[in-house]
Amino acid sequence: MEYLLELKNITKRFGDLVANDKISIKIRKGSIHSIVGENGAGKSTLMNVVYGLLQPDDGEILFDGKKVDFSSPLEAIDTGLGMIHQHFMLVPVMTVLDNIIMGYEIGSFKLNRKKSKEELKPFFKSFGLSEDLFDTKMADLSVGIQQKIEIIKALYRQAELIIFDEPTAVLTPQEIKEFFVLVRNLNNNGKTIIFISHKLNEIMEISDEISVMRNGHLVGHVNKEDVTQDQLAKMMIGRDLSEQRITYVENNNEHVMEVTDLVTPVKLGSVGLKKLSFSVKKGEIFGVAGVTGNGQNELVNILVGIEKPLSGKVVVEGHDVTGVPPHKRTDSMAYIPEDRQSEGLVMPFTIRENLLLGKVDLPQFIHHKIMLDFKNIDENANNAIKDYSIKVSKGPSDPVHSLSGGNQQKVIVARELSNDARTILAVNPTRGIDIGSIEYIHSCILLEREKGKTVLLVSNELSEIMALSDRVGVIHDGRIVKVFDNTDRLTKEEVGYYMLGGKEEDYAKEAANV
Amino acid sequence: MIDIIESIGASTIRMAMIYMLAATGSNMAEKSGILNLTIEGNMLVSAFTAVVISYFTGSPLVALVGAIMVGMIFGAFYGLLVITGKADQMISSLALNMFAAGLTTYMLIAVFGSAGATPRVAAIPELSIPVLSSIPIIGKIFFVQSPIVYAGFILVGVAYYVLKHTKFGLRIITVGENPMAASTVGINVRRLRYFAIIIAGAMGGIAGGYLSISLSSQFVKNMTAGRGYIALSTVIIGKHKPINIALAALLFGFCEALQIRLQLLDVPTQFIQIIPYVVTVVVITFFVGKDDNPSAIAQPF
Amino acid sequence: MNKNIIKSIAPSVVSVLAGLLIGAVIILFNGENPLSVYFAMLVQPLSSYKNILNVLYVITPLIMVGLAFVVAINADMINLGLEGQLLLGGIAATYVATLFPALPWFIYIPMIMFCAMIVGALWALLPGYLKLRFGASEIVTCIMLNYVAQYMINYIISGGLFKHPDIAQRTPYILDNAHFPSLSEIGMNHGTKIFRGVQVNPMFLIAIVTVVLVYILFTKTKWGYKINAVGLNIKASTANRMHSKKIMMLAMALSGGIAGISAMGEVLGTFNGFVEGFSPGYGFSGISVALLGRKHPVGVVLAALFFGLLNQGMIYVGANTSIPKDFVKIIQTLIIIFIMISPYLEERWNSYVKSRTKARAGRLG
Repeated sequence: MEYLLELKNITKRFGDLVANDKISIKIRKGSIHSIVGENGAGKSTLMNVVYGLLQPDDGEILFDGKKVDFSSPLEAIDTGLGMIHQHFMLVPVMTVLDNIIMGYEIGSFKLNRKKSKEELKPFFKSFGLSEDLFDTKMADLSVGIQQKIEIIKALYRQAELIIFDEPTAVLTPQEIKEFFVLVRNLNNNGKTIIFISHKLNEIMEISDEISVMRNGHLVGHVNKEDVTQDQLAKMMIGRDLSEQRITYVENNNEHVMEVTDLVTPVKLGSVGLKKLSFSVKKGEIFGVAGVTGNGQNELVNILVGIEKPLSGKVVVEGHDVTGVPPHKRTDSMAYIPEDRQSEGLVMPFTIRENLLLGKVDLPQFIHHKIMLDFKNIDENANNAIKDYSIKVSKGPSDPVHSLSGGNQQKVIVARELSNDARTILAVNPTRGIDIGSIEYIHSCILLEREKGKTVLLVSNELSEIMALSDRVGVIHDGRIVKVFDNTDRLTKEEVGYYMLGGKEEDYAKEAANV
Repeated sequence: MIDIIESIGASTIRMAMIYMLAATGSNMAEKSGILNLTIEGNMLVSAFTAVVISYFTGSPLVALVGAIMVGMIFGAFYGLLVITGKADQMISSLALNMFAAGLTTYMLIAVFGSAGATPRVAAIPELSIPVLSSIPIIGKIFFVQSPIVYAGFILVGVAYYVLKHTKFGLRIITVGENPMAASTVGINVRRLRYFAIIIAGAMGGIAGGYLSISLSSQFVKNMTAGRGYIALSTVIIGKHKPINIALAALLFGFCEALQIRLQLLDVPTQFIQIIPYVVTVVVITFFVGKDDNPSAIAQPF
Repeated sequence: MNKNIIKSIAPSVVSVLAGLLIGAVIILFNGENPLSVYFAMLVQPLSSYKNILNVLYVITPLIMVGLAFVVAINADMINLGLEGQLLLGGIAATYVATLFPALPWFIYIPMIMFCAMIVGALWALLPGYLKLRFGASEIVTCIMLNYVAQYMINYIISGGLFKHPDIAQRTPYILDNAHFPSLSEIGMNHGTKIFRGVQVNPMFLIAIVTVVLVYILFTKTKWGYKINAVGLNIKASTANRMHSKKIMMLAMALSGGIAGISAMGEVLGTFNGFVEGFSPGYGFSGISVALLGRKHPVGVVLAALFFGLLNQGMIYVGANTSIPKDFVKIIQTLIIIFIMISPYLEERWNSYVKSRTKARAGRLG
């Protein structure tokens, strides 16, 4: 069989959302095949279908020419598949040995740990791991080693096809180098590899063949030799917003936000901030561009006050807010969160109630000190609906869960962009909403700048950053690696280069090559 | 003096075994990720069942077996509610406990026509182990006890062994810590949890039977009197480890043994009686971190 | 709007019916007629004006503990310590009610109730604080503290605080100026016998007032808003600069305060003091009433009415049949169990309906 795995018209729906739309991919035996796409493109869903964690609504899967229908991962494993998930399937409090043998133990009742150790010794040797690790607790090990254990888990179960889901997301650069060596060794030993990622430089380095997904569709399939990183990026991102650009205005104002040397620990699921610093001038829109998972969450949480850095300082509007919990904050920073449903809104609440969140102590909404002033509250809500064109079915008493994503976001924007806030933190403010609402919210943000407010925009949508920012900082691996002060002639490619891990020294060379 | 030591020591073991049995079993369920507050109700229905069966068959042995089986059914029912039905585990536990209380009192009247207690029935006699029981002091404390006590100590050892050295134990622990990881390697999380809660039910059944037809020879209305919750305490204080749980059970057994002695002195008994509860609160506040509970506890899968 | 109300009431109604159905089976097992038993339980307590008034007496503490649970659960705090808070509030009230014979009742009684509320609030704040500061599970601490409260009271009654226990297992009688007169007594004092034997006392009115206050709290005050917000989404509330921990503690304190005065009708009224064991498990009843009442003040009243009827009805059932009064407990817990699994049952029902419509469409298509 030339192809070890064939996906034919795989479709998977979650309610109205089509996560995989008639995906057909052929994986050549012995190849390293990468599947790339932005977050939400449907890559992980597809692999979960292949691995038996999810059942497809339509389509079929062939393994080594034979039709297979996995109703559970156990069947996939028995057939010869192995999967290394982005979030490791390990138990921190258990030993390395127990983590590996769990579900695949030797012995019918009593555990024969000794025999398992014997069987695993050759694996450990070839991965360069000491036998002392057998009895070490998983939690005590570095992420790089944990990943090796995950791989050994799959190999021990005689996987022929190994799927890696975003494997380098939490590895240090050194660990990433080691990881690639490992993958090549596996490949040289006959294993077929599927590699899921959005890190184009890594894809270009390791893959034989590349399939590109976008919004649940397969948009392209190429051989590595036939494509450039740039072309891949275009296939991946695809969406073209009206390339509105703000006119660059020279800004010599003082800094209204200063972030200095923030450090957070590296742990499972976090790259950790590694002395991250930047500052934002009054009246500007500062865009922090970066691929998801490079420290944005940690930065935002520290700015909001729900997390404390190990070291470093944050000053907002002259107040030192490092480690200050939100309810004690004295600055006026508004927050438009990335996840509107979990951090921005109380979903069962109505529009008028959500507009009060955090503002219910304001004198205009209260009379007699504790009673809610419904007249003013309703007026406030009606104004917001009008001013921000929020599409409602009845009015302020609509529960927000009945609104579309874009309108939900408008409620948050309406609440946060009130006159009190002089600084605004917006994180992926247009994630997952319709084009019309995106444009509208962008114009709101620009309007705030006209009013003299300061905006810190953190986004993984490069077009959004380019459209709105006066200055751009690129976040990569827990640091701001480059700040562009003049965005007049800035190109997406240049920003993208730094977003994907490019180094300043190498940029001139790259630019010369294109 | 020696008499007092022997007497208190023997009482300690005797009372501690209630908690030891129930807690060791419940620990299995909790290790697999199920919050188990149903010990109280479990013990109560089993205690009643033991008395009823002993009454009608005259055989305490058959009665004990019956108590265990009823305990298993009780556990399975709880499992049905919270594993398959995904009901809130805490409230379901409390509801089941209430249900057990109502059911046993109801049956007390329905079967025996009494509102307070059953008549005396055939009970399990103490068994004095030859040779060992002649050892000074220790002999009287450890080796003149109900056979259930001996079985109990063995079961604690079995529990320890199972969790540490068997396939089943390893999977139980995994399922309680990271059910997702377990299911990705093909372990049937729900089925394993059912096993665990049924085991807990069985051991609660032994504890209940021990209470009614070994420590006593009748069923008295609501005779568990909160002991199920003390057993829960020992699980928490013992940080879900079988040996530590057994030690905590001994501690509280000691408190109970002491209580009776101290009534002869002037110390108000209530101060002794609240020791298990206060100790639990203190331990759970200052000494039990988030790490001491199985990570996936009380989350339906 | 109406569809929403039906949707939220449905689980309760279905659970009640399911519970009664299984209860009917148990009754049949006992050789009795379910219809006559349920008639005795649900209808007879309402058969005369005196009976109706007595039902009001029975539901008074149920309403209060139900409200107490609702206040806490709205902040996502599970107050399992209602029993302890209620008992300690009762004993505190009793103690204060034996101290000042000279105070006029309109000063004395509010003072007593205030003390009871404070004690209840503190006993609820303890597990709340331990949870929010140390992460100690409020499930366990509440249950433990219930037992501690019981033993403390046992000690207090046996001579710890009340120096000369008059009768075993109860406190001495409270002073006259601290007494809640029952409707029967009020009638007698005015020369009429029409209310003779009716135990309902002003505590019922206080309960109704509490219902109204809780309703106003959650629909019209900023504190109710904050409690709801934190209970529904603590992450969003915290990110929007609300002091979530303080709000949760406030909810626990209010909950404990309400629980603390839940038994005033018994303590200051019927028993004129604290009688050990007078509570037939009001702590858990509070949870039942709150859940059956869908955590809404009006629902709590209706649920209390239902459970109160059941309890009161057992008097007639006990008199005429061989069903013992713990039967009510069985029905009550069965209903709660059904409520607990109603999301699951609803999901199964929905997918069943879905597959039937699909099949029908398939046949037609």
